[in-house]
Amino acid sequence: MLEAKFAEASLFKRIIDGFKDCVSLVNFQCKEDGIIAQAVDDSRVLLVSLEIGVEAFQEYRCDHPVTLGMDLGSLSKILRCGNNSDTLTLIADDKPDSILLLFEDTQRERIAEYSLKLMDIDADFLKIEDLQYDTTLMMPSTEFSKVVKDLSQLTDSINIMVTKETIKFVAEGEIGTGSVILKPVMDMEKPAESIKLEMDQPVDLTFGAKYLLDIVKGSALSDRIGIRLSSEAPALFQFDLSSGFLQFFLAPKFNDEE
Amino acid sequence: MHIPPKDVVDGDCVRILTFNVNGVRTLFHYKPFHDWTPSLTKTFNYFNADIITFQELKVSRENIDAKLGCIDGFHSFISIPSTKKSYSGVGVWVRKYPSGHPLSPFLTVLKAEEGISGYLPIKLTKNCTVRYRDDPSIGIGGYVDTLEEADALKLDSEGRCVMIELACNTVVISVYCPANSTGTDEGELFRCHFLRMLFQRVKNLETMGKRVVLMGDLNVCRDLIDSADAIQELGLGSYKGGCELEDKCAVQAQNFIMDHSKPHRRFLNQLLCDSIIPELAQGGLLLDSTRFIQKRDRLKMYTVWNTQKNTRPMNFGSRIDFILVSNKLQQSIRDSNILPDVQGSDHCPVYTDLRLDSALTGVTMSPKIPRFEAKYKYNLLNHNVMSMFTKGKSKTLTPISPTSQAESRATATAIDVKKRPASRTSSIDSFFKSSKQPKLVTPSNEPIFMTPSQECTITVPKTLKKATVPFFKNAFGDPPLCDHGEEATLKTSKTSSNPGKKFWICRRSRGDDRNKEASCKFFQWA
Repeated sequence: MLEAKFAEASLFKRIIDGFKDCVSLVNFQCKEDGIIAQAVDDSRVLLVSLEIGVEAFQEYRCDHPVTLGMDLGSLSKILRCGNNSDTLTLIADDKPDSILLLFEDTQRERIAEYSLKLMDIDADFLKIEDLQYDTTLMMPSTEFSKVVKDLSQLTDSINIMVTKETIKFVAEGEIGTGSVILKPVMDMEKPAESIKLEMDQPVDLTFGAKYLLDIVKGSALSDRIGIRLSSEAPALFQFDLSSGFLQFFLAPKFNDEE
Repeated sequence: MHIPPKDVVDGDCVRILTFNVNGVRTLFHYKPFHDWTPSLTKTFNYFNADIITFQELKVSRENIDAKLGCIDGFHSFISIPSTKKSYSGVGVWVRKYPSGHPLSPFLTVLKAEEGISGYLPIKLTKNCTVRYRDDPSIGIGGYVDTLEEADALKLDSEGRCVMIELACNTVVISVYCPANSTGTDEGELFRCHFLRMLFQRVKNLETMGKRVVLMGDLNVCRDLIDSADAIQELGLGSYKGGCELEDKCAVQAQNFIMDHSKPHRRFLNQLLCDSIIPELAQGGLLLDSTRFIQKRDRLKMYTVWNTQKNTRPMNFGSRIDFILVSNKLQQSIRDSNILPDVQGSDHCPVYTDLRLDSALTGVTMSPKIPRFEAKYKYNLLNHNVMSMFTKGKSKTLTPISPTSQAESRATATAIDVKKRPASRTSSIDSFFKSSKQPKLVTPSNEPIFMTPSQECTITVPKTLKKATVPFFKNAFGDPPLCDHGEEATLKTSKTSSNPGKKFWICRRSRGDDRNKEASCKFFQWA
């Protein structure tokens, strides 16, 4: 029996909206210590990994591990039916055919109940251990989102270069070129506005703009985005939840000289 | 539906396939392609094909992704129009064989080129762009110089031609020739210029000693026996075989080709060494492989049907999709046919199996990477995120099976989904009793091509599914009976003289006049 209650339905909605456009069929694994999910996009360039810890829920109970295969398109249709301030409870039995979503408006005593049919999705689940990274970067997610959206208007690939003191984003397109340079700053008054950079080795990587645009959709989850880059490992883009995270692992483009 | 297997005695048979898909994305709405959405690899394996060309891809630059341009086991070459979006477009895919495989020497791509003129530029490195005709190590050669550069570039601006040179001294040209469906003089001129430049290039390449394979939707009917409309117009529908027809009606068959208002038919026949007009065949270089195998006696071997008139069920169409091979390859043709049972487009696929002789291989140069390959041209080079996890760090990635399956499939692409059946909703009709309201319903939202010469262009009422018919059926009174004694079907006129006016017409599919099973001539205004 799974019973997972979010204090606000909007949280789960923002989580799903954060990655529903790049993957469609996802297995959610519910265990004693929370819910995890993982999926790879069709082109096998972007891997999404989600962890929602027990503390992110108002109430959480899961007696037996259970896997819920869902189509995110269908799930988000149902999530749109709830009001943001409603509480949302996910309910499933041990061998479920469907999952129950219960929206409750405690003030008005309005209860809306939806059930979503589950799917058998045959996809492997990968245990991702810590990877080695050359550079770690923390910045406001709105700032990153703006850079990606601006530069992707010029081209289909965005280059990220990190040196000791600067982070440089470059786009070279047919109509012209553009670049944005950011420097680490500490904002004492508004710590969320700070840009933090830890660099062991300079990196110079190019990513498909299409995938970065998918990633910034997670910005609604957190004020801050953590970016970890390495020339050997897939880049990691992470949005933290109060307990848990939404991670995107993105494979860079390679130089066409092969 | 059965796709014939390749002749694999020695494992060196190459299958070439052409298919005007009329939108590569909509192809996957049809069986059996739907089950493989959106894998081209599985589609090509289904056809057992090694070199595949699709015309009318109807994709724009933004929609060219790894699923189209960087697919497992194939080289991809895609040409799209420079300005018009989601229109035309030709794709060619060539199967990659491991170097030891008997077919690998034949199918190694030495060069690849976009367009016919050689004036189109190709980006070699970040700062270096050349025109194909300016660099003999990039361009295939045999360029035509009769047109001004600007005019030639115009012909090449609509994504209609992809050319590849294989290591077996063979050049495969895949085209989607202009149709001039609107019938304008300008369109006819464009079409003639296109065909002239194309056919001249073929001749030049043949003169250079190359073996040319020209395939695709040529939008030209080569013979009278390839056009149901022409046979019907001349009232020759009674002949049972093509040989008899061409024997008895030799003049009509010749006039069909030499028709002055259709110069493209003569152009095409000038290129064919099997043309029925000896003077044209004399200078011909290519052989119509499908006709060569199927013989001239086979009638109704059509590759395209008019969807608006729904002529496919009665097989009332024409043959404009060809695989023409160099006459030097005549001995190599093992098999060729049309695949009329394959749905998904208004055209059907055509294939030819060639057994290439090893005597003519001989890679004299180490191939440069053709920069026209889609992954370079459209910048699709991306690492695979799954293999990056495994790279050199097998420990980081431990597959945990959610189910009992223990095998590790880190890079497997198959996601097997079993949808639970959804319950059916009942028809809205069951809630209504009366149906007297004369509500006007336009039964079609399909785009209609209007030709003033046609009396009525009819449309199939797609929006009116069977379930909803009872409700609207009587809005125009009871349907009259056609000559078959069956209820007629209601259509809407689209002509300028009677726009929007409803009429009744036989519900059967259009076919030959003599065919009693096909549509009768019943017509009545509603």
